[in-house]
Amino acid sequence: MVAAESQPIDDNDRQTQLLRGALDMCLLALLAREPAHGYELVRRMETAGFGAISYGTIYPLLTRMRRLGLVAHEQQVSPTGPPRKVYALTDSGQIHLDAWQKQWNRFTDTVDAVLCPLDHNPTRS
Amino acid sequence: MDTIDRLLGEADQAWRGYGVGSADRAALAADLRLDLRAAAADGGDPAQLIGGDVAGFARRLADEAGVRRVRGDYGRILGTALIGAVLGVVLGYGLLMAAYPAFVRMIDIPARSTYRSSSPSPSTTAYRPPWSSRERSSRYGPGYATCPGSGGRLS
Repeated sequence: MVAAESQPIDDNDRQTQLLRGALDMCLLALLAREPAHGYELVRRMETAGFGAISYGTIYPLLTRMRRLGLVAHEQQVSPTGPPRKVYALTDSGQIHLDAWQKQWNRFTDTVDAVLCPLDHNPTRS
Repeated sequence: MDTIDRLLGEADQAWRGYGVGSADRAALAADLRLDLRAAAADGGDPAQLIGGDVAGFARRLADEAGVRRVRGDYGRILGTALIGAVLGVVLGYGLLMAAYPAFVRMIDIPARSTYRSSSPSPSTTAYRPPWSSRERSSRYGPGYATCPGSGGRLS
């Protein structure tokens, strides 16, 4: 038998693991609402309630999605500063977002169905 | 812009070490520069945005961009092989030059022992070139070498 170890619950680690599977989908959803440049997306994610997600995480992910053809970028002249590289969703990106959203909904329904009975049953100590 | 240049320099070094080709490095750096400049204009600190691990960020970016990587080991192996080949050729040439006289002595037949044997045959001693050494000297000059059968002397 393996002895159960008492581990402190690390909310940040758990949050990171959950976010890992949903971050690209969330970025696509934010870009579907309105095109944005990299730094602006970082701020939007923070405003959405994900906490501080580093630019070092967002920018490589945007680069991958651009490589996969899910987003496209164009250089836009800014009246207040240097030109911006603004990302927008492509048609392929929209199709993927719809598919991923359906898949996510199915997944969360399943997880909810598993977790909900726990609310009514007392846990063993 | 000094901070952005410094960060891009560090990233470029990391990409080099990671085996990213020069064209891909230039493209990645140009994209990143544009984005960092936009972020800096919005009040973001480029160094803070990328974080302390610039090399890690650069490698992750190269992976996500799907650039082709050339393994750094190939260059090192090729260089070592080239140096080894040059050293081998030089060493081989030196050995050949050192051993060449010995080889010549081993397989060459000494001229004097053939023509000055203890019992010269009448036919060998009787041979004479078509003209005398004095005639050859007058025709071709004093440095003209005689053929072995004429006694091995320079006229």
